[in-house]
Amino acid sequence: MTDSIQRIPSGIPGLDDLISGGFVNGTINMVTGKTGTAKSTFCAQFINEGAAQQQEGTLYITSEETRLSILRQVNQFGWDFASLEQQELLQILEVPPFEVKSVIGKISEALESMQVNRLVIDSVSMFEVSLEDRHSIRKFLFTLFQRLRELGVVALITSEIPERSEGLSPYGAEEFMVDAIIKLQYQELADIQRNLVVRKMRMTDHSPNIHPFEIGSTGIQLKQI
Amino acid sequence: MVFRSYRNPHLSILICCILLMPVAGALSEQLALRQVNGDVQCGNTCITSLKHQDNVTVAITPTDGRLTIQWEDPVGNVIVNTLQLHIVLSPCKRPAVCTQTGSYRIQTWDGSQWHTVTTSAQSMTTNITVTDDLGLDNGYKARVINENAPVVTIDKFALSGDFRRPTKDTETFWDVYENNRVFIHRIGIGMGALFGITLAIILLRKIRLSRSQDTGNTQLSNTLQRHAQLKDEIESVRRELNSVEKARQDLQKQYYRREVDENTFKDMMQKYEQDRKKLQHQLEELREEMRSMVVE
Repeated sequence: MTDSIQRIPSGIPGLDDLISGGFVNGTINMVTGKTGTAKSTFCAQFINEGAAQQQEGTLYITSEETRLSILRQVNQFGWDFASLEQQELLQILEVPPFEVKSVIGKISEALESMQVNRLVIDSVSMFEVSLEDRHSIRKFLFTLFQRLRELGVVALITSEIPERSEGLSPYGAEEFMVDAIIKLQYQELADIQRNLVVRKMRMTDHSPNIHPFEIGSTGIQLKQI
Repeated sequence: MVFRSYRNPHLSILICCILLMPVAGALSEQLALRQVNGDVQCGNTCITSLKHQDNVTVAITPTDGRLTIQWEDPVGNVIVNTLQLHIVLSPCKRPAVCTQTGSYRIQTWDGSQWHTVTTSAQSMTTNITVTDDLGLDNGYKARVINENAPVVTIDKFALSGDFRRPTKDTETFWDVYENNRVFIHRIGIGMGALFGITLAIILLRKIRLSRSQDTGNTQLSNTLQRHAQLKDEIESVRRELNSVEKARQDLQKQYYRREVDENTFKDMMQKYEQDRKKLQHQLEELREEMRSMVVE
């Protein structure tokens, strides 16, 4: 099943073994989890892998943070996003949550200005907040994901799970639309308190297990069970 | 008792001391005799002779470098008698004595002057008239004089005659002798007892010290026993802790493999965590006790 499918490495040590080699080209992958589960780090590591290691064009859309904040945060892992920007391997795009209706347009503009293979939207949950109702959210997400699929990029979007929620997203919409869901969890009773689960990955024989990971000096690293 | 004393050297010493006390008393009697005869150079032979003279009270003292035989009359009693004094000079046993050549004289003291009564070479006898008018203060005296020898050695002497035995309230030589003998004998026994008591005290102190050492040894033994016990307990708790830790690890693996659900995982992990903390606390307490034992 995986032989004819092109994949790109995630950049997360240990993860590609669980998902048959990496993310499938042209798919929309959701990284979800409660606050503090390292979703942004996951995304940044994915971008760094593409831009710095694979020399791919990458786009990082942030609705929560500023560009400078991102540059500062990733710098602690030794990832020089500023340099990647100068090399035109990375573009960081700040899109405020209340500009939700212009998101798709801005993404299209950015993608037209450079060859992009990887894209991160961190996070779609912030855009959902600005929308009026569940129908609007679904419509927005559907339109966004359709556009991304048309562009043929490997998209990684993040979604925020509210505390005490057992769902995968705030409004229970995007998990049905994305191709893959990687859930990041925080288990305080375990020795390694962070872990991830591949809840869904189309066209991929993925691991059903829970996989602990640590955030070290070089980013996220999965541990052997 | 003997067996126990055999095992306990201190007790043996104590028993020996008690057994030696009569010996010390006997020795002290001999010491008393020597004290009385200390000034007499004729030794026990003289005393033996004197003891047969029941009614005689005699003191023998050296005077002016010469031997003086002195007897005192009983105080408060009228004694009119004639005594015969017989003196046998020391046989020639030692060269020093044999060199005592020259004439010997026996002199008697009548209370105011000396009277030479006889002369002889080896054996002399003289009669002495004793009355109550004389010698109350000075006593009756006799002496043997050799002009060539500073000290005359007498082998034995004897007084004989018909004279009255002194009354009981009269202090005679033998009373003095007996009193002295008893006194010195008692002193000897007292000294022996004191010696024994001193030894006993030393011994008891040593026994107490020994017991203290035994107590110390017992304490040391208990400490070592407790140390070993602690070691075992620590090992046991450590094994238990390792067991809990392994169970925790296994449970986490089960959780990661989804062999247990999250609620079960949480419940069991909380229980293991409690067990682990309890055991760690226990282990720390045991280690602390062991550390304190090492310090002591």
